Amino acid sequence: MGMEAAAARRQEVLGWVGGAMVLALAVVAVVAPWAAPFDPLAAVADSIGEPFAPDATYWLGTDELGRDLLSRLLYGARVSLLVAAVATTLSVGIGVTVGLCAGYFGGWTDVVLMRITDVVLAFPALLLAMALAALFEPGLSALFVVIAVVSWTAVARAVRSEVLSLRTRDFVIAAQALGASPLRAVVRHVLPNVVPTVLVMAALSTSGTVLLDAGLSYLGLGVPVPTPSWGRMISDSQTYYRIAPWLMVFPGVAIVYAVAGFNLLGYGLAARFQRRTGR
Amino acid sequence: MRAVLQRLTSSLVVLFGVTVLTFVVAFVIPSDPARTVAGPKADPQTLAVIRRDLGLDRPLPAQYAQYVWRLLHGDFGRSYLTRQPVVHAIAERLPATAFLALVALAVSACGGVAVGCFTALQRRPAIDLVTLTASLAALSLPAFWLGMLLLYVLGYRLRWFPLGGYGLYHVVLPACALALGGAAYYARVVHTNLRSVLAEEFVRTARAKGLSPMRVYGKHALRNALLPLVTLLGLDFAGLMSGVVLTETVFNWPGLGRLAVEAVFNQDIPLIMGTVLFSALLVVGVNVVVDLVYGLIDPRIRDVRG
Repeated sequence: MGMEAAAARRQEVLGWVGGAMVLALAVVAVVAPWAAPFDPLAAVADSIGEPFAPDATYWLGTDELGRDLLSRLLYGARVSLLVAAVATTLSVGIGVTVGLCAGYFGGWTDVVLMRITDVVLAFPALLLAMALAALFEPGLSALFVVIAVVSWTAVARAVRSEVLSLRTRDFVIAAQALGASPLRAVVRHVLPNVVPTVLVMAALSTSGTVLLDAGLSYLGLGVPVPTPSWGRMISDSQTYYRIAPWLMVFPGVAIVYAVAGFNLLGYGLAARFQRRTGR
Repeated sequence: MRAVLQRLTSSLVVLFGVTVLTFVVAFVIPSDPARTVAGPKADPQTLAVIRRDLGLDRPLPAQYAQYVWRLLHGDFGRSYLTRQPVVHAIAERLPATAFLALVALAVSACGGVAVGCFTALQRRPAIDLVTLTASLAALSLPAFWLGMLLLYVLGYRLRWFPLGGYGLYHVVLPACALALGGAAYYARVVHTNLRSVLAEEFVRTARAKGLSPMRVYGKHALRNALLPLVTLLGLDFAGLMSGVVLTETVFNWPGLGRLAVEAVFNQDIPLIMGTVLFSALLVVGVNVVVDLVYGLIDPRIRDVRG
């Protein structure tokens, strides 16, 4: 037991690291307009077709259109975080609703909702997202919906199994016996108890949405150009990767940083809640 | 036996749901499905023919029934760009994807098991944390970026591997890029499982009987730690297919993933929906096989005749 508790505490430290990484990223996204040394959309260097390597003026170099890479990365953080935040909020919303209904009502509601979850899970997320993106007008709102539609399943499953065990607990049964409506029982008594699970799943699924968004932008299905996005910057760099490898290295590092931050945060939160509840 | 039948029935229900979903996306959401099938440049005459062919004036259930009837006969529609049947396009591209995916699976399973076993047998207390951190880091790498890094370092700089093309030697880099995420995942699962198995009674009994460490670890512990991997393989297969799309794009690999990406760029909706539907069928099929195999190898299921 002592060793396990120590291991859990070490995992919590990882959570703090992840939290700090996410916080720093959020700060960067907010202050990007003031922190960016150049206009991310303007050709500020005379480097068309021949990207500049990182130097004292252009810290991370310039791209094939003469735009400053650092400024584009900072602005890219805004787009990435915006997509991640909105899409994750939508998908967690769907997942929590589905999971609560399936777990609390049980019976046919549960069977139907879980089969729908299985159906969505049968599709490779990126492929389904591509197909949906092809049908919609490209744009931010389409991107939010597409990502949310393919990524709510894990949250739904986690919430459902949590609710299944809560449903038979005394305080829920007591509330029902006192005449609480199903809606009241769910919102007042069940929902507050699934908040830890939801927070952990939200952090973990944010890392998933960042990756999915990066993949879609890499394929040219993300935020439309010229808005800078990390995935698109990597695919644009592909023509120049031999002469200008920094164009692909830095945006990739940014993606890994963001995804790792949310992953660490999720695992840290999970360890913390586990220790608190002694499970 | 009953458990297997139950799983098969629920797979059938999922298959039904998969076809409903693709039907809705292809024929119910678009304002003019005929135009979706025929492409943006189709003339009114073609559109009228397609409308009649799809029975767009009939109620949706009838349209759906016809859709499934055609699927059952291997008719996934035609690419509006090349007029080629979608099934032929998929059949042409499938071998390349299967090749890449199988090599990647082998790499990630072998790599994951090896790393997981190695770390689980270490006795230093920090090893759990190191394993967790390393596997999280590996899981955070986008496969397409890793692919480009490998291409740059091992392909372009060191010239160990070819920069593109299709073949036994050419599959190494894309397969490694595709495999890392899975390997990291398997490594962590093997690590955790092996740790908990090693703490169990029967391992202690095996040791107490005086069996050699090789036998204890190899025969008793490892076998029990590896069983869940089979299920994991099925669960992870959809994720592998997503990774295939990106990896194939980076390496210009002539498989299904690139077919789907090309279809999206050409707005070739029948081809997109065909590929998406096919990959979902593949995922369901793989999971059925995994369930059957698991039933065969897990003594707890195998030896219970219900």
